[in-house]
Amino acid sequence: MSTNENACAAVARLNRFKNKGKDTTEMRRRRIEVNVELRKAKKDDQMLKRRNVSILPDDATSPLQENRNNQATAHWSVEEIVKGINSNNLELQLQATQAARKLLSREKQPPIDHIIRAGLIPKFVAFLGRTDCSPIQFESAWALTNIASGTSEQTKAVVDGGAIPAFISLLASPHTHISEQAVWALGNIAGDGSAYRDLVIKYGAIDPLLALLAVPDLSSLASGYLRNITWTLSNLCRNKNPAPPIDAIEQILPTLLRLLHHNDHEVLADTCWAISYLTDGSNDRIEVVVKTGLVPQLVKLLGCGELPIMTPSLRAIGNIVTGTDEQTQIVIESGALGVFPSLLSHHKNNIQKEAAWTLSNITAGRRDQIQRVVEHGLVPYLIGILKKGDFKSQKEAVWAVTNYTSGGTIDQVVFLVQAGVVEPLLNLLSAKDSKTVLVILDAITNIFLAAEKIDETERLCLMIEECGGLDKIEALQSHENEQVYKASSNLIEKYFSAEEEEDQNVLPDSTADSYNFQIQGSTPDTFNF
Amino acid sequence: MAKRIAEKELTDRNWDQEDEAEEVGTFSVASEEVLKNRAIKKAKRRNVGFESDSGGAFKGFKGFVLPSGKGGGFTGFGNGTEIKPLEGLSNGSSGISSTPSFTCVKTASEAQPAFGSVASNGPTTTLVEKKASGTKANGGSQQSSSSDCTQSKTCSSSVYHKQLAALNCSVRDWIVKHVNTNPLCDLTPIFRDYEKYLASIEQHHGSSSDSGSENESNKTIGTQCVPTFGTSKLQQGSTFLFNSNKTEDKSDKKTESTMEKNRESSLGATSNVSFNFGKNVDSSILSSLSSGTKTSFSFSPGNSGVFGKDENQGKTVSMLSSKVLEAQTESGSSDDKGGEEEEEEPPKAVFNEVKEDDAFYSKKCKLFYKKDNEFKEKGVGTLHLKPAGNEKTQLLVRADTNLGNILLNVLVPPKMPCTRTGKNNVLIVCVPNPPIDEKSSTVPVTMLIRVKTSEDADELHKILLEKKEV
Repeated sequence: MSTNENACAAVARLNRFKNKGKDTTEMRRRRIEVNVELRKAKKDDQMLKRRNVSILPDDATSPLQENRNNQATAHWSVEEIVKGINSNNLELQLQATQAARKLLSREKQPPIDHIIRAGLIPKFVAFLGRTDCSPIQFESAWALTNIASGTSEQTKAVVDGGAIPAFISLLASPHTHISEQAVWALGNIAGDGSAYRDLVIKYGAIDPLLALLAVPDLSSLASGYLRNITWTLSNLCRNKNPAPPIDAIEQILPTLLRLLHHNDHEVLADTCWAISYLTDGSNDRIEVVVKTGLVPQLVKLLGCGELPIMTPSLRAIGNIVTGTDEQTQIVIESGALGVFPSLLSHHKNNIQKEAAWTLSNITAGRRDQIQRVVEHGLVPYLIGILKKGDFKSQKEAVWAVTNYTSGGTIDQVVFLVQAGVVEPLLNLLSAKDSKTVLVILDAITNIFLAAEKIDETERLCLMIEECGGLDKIEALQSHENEQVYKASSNLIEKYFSAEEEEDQNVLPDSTADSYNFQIQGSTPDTFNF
Repeated sequence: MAKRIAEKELTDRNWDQEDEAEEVGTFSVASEEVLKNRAIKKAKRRNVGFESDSGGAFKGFKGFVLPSGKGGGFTGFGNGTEIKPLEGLSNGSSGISSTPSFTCVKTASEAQPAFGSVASNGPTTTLVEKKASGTKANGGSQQSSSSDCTQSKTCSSSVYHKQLAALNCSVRDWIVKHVNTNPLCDLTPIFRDYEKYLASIEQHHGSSSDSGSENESNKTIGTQCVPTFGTSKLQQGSTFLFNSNKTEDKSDKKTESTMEKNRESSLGATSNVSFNFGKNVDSSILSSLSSGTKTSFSFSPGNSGVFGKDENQGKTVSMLSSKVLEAQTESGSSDDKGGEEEEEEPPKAVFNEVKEDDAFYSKKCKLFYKKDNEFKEKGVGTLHLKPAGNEKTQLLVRADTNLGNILLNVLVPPKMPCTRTGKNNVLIVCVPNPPIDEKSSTVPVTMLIRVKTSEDADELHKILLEKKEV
């Protein structure tokens, strides 16, 4: 499809450019690396959820009267806390633990490292097991949750203290608020990365977690509780390199499907996030997800109009159509394309971009799939993005067009041209991003190939010329990127060449913003001497 | 499979962060070093001057603008200083006066709307306007402009004068228009281009050792002005020239050229003007123009066809009237440094033809050979058929250069496959001599001979058939 050729000599030079000369696997690998770095950096900045609730849940039984003693456990110093915890008095220990929890829950700069250095983590972990004193279980769970919500190092400290199995045991606590706290803590730990996620799974967290949802109607659960469980489940689906174990995923998926039918928006959003993480992988991963039959519901949510839900569901669907043609077909048959007119014209640039990206992977599919795109009237929307969209969306639309021209039948390409793709497509040729330029040139090449088959090259040439595209293509020969130069030069030579080449040895005087006066070329068919 | 995974990781954490907007930007141009080593190809234009979009194919054309490219960026030159040279030039050249012709201005301004949305603000559209105004001024009111041209009619080489008049009218109109819009404009670039165009006209229809253009490549610029005189006149002119395709041409032209010699041109161009029609590009322009009006216009206006459904329908009228423009010659690069090189001559593509005295048939042609399923060009030259004793015929193609290299020299074998293809081609199969490929020098190769017109091709085909039957 592509007419770009790398001469051997050019390859070495190309490899010196950031992305040139690298094949897709190499680039993918780099992208992943970069993304991992970014993710790590971001996570260090972000605090995972931290509880800042000031009201204690109803059934917090405490030997201490909270109201009476609310101030009593406020603003302790770490030394005081250590002292209290090292005492042999359960009451004091509880007070000290609560004081620690309050320190760790404050808005500004909780002294997490201080607490860790004080060696308190093993104490807290031990308190998790005090079924005889549920308040101290609760307070220590809360404190540990907040420590684990910090940096990876801080989370490590919690894990090293043996917290994971202790928390998993707490999942079965008869006290909902305690079990919820354990869910939360495990979510923080699993969200740290693939390693701890898999460790949490290995310790057997999934069964008891799912058991918490073993109720006939999810609405009978407290919304906060349900949200927390959903969120933790999504963290178990999260992260790559490695991705979660497939059997664990298969275990969780039916519950995700169930959650996908719930009516709480946060639950729906987090479930869609979970699915978007799960579908971000190889085709067999996608297959596992698709096989649960959740795509139709996903598509339904795509059209729900709520941005926090649409965003992850669109990403999930976009991921699915990077899979096989059959997997893509399932998306199409679930009616996804019907939502695309609104997505492709959505006010949010990101939605437009993701929709165009998704569409580009559908037009990379079979002809009948391209036909479905046509039938849903999506071509004008695509062209609309080309004309005026955010540049990132335009880039995706360009890909969609090129893929379409590559895999489409001649009729489909003709349809595309008649719909007016040529001019807005060519207008993007002046863009800075050379990859985009190359993709556009590919599209033009493909359209020409179709034109040749029906003997319409002349008309196409005229079209290109009239919209100013020919000037742009010519100008591209001065592009700094060798591939662009070659591609544009090839196009001109093949379809726009003057028959007489007398003056080809004259070097062009091109400056940055002007180029040679374009003199008309030779007559099309008669011959000039 | 062209599936692409997501570029960016999207999570519940970052999904509502504002992406940094990526700008379209414009592409970076390669360095001079790199550019020097590149072979930059010129694209042939099919449709000149009648775009309804502003700019159209001429968006990149900067010939009439300052480097800043904007109307506002002009330096403050007064009217007087700039206009005068023009007047001086036009007065001095070939007796065509353009001073009184503000009538042309009117028609120009009336004419513009007829060309749709020819933008009147951007410099990029100047060429379009120029052509439009130039064309209309001449075509629309042939009577008024003909008075300008009457003098030229007396000269048998009316084409040159027509072109020159067209050029002057166009420039005048352009200047008038833009100076009316903004008197504080620097018209230097316009004159540079004028020089170029003029030089090319000189080149075509009066090239000489001291004509004023920089290089040969500019010669084709002049053709733009050619059609502005209306098709009928031009066709007459061109048929006149085209009929004589042998060396007799030279003598005809010499007489013309002597007449031309007597005319002055204060541009410092041409004192000996000679028309080289038989050999050079020039005649091919005209001849191709004439044939262009017949055959090379592939766009059929009324028939929207597959691709051009909407784009072209609006242009049918203008397309028809611009038929002559359709025929274009080879492109060349243009220097913007016209001013300094006023005194230099263009290198001329003159060569002395190697005469083939005993050829009973000669025809200009372009020779291709078929390799790897595509035709590659062997060269341009003249095909001669000569008797070779024994009732055999020799087919000789010599390149049109001073050396007269032999492109093909074979005996026409009796059973040589010879077919007529395309508009103006003849296909033969023979063992090429000189060999195409040293290694396979006895393998027959398909050669394609392309001649000017289909009549020529028919003729050649017929003769070859005759000769090989023997």
